[in-house]
Order: sequence, then C-alpha cells, then structure tokens
Amino acid sequence: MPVLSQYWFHNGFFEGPFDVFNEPYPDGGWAWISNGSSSAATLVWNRPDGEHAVDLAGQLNTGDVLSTVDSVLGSQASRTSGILVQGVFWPSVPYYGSDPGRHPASMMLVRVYFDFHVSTPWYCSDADGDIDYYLVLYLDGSGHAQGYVDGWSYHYDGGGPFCTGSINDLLNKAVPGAIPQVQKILDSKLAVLDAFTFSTMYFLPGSGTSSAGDHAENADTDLAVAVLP
Amino acid sequence: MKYDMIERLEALLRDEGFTTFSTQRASHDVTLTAAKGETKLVTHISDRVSVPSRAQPHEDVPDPSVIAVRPQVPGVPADAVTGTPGRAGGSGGGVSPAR
Repeated sequence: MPVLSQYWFHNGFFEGPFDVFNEPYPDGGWAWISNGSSSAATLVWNRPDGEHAVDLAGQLNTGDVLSTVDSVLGSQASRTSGILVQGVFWPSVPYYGSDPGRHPASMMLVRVYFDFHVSTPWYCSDADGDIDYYLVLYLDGSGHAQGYVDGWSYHYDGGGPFCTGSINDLLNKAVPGAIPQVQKILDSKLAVLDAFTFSTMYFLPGSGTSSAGDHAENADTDLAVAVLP
Repeated sequence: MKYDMIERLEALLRDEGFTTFSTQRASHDVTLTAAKGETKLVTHISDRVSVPSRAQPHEDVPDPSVIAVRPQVPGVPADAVTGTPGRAGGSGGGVSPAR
C-alpha cells in the first residue's frame, strides 16, 4: 500500500531531530496529514507501493561490523559510540574544497561515522572526536545497487599541548587504511539486494520507517536509502 | 624529524640525576619526559603544527560512467514552515483494505 509521509525537521532540511507522520492509503485513493509543531523545514513524500527502504544505521550496528571497526582502531583508540549515518550534501563534505567538481552540488553522500577516544600521557589532555567515511551509493547500468568509499575525515578535540602529532599519525594511518574493510562491509550489505534490479533510488531521513503514525527520529544519526523496482 | 638533539638532552638530564625517561616520537614531533624526585620535565620539539582534523578524497574510486542512476533527495530546501498544533492524518478512496 502506498504511504504518504510528511517530515518536520526541527533544525533544517535533512538535519537533526525531526518528526515523521506516515499515512498509508489505498491505490488510487488519497491521504492527508495535518501540520504539527513548528519546524525549520518540512517535506512531503509519496512513497509508492514496492518501495524497499534500508535503514543504514540499523544495517551497520551489527556485531560483525562493530568488531571490524574496533579491530581497525586497535588498542590505541577506542570507539565511544555506535555507527551513525547522516546524509550530507556534497558542498558540506569536508574535502569538497579539494575538488568541487567531483560531484554535482545537489548530490547527497552518506556519512558513516562514529565517535572515538584516545588516552594520552599525563602531560596531554585526552582526545575525543569522530572518524568519518563518505560513501557514494548509486544504481549501475543493470539496475543493481552499488556503492563505494569516496573519502574520509577525522576531527577531534584535545590532545594538547604535545600529543596531536602522535594522534594524527595514528589516525592518518588507520582511517584511510580501513577503506578496504569499509568497502567490504558496504559490498556485503548491498549483496542482499543483488537478486533485484531497481529503477529509482532515493534517500529518506532517519530509519526510513513507513509504519503508520507518528515517529521522532534524528537525521544526523540515521539515514535510509530506498529503491523502487 | 631528527632525534639526535633529544638524545643529547636525555644524556644531559641523566647526568643531572633525572630518571624515568620516556620518549614519544611522531612524524613531526618528539616529546621527552623525565622526573627527578617531585620534579617533572617535559620537552617537546615540533617542526610542524598538528591540526586535529583532516579530510581527504579517496583516489581509487570507480569511473563516474558506472553510475547510471544517482540517488535522489526528496524535495528541496524549503522556507521555514510553521505548523498548527495537533497532528492527524486520514486517507480514503479506491478499494480500501481493512485497517
């Protein structure tokens, strides 16, 4: 059954906390949704029958993925959050400035990230930050869902006054060095769709739930990708 | 980065009675710590400012021609919208299965 979804973003379009109300309706029928609380941006999206939405954070917060991430970090850094996912428009990706023409400005990349902590010797403050991978998802010429790691970043606070150099050495090796593992995880998650071909792909904020009624989620911590036959 | 200055400094400090030496080396800096009783010493030498962030595109990516369909982002950024209190929904028409 098709679903009419309306999203109310508290902070901005595809940003931060949002509410969604889903109203299923019969084929050829109609649906309405009334407004609720105030919002910075809103979106109404008609979701056709046959939509297959994949909750990316839900797919990535599994034991095998988390243990892979932890093994990449090793003993020098520790993961302090689950795997978080966010849709980021290309101009907001931190390496945009190095090659603005790499993607269309309207393109949304999938930011997969997690928080980390690095303990330091007594003369430095500990460091806390996030490690990010930016993924491109697409349909190939055969209509199969594909994806690749487009880039990476990290940012942290702390490590001063003398330990940022060694922390950077650690991250400059570990973060790009894990791209093959990230690609392997992405390929394995997309493999469940291998048997199907699709004509359309689109992003939805949060888990992409189509369950009837009201839901409160956060677009900064979850993103769904939906496909249509 | 050359570490010989740190090594000479460590020898000097050892002559002065410092103990518990530790050296942390990174690509662009080195930090030597030592202690003498309650006195603690930290020496840090750096030849580059270390910025606590970095972002870089991955060079080994597929040719853009493999992309037949890019994902859409539903809607476009909208002006601020103020809703009305309360929220409800309804639907009808067509052949409606029982809900």
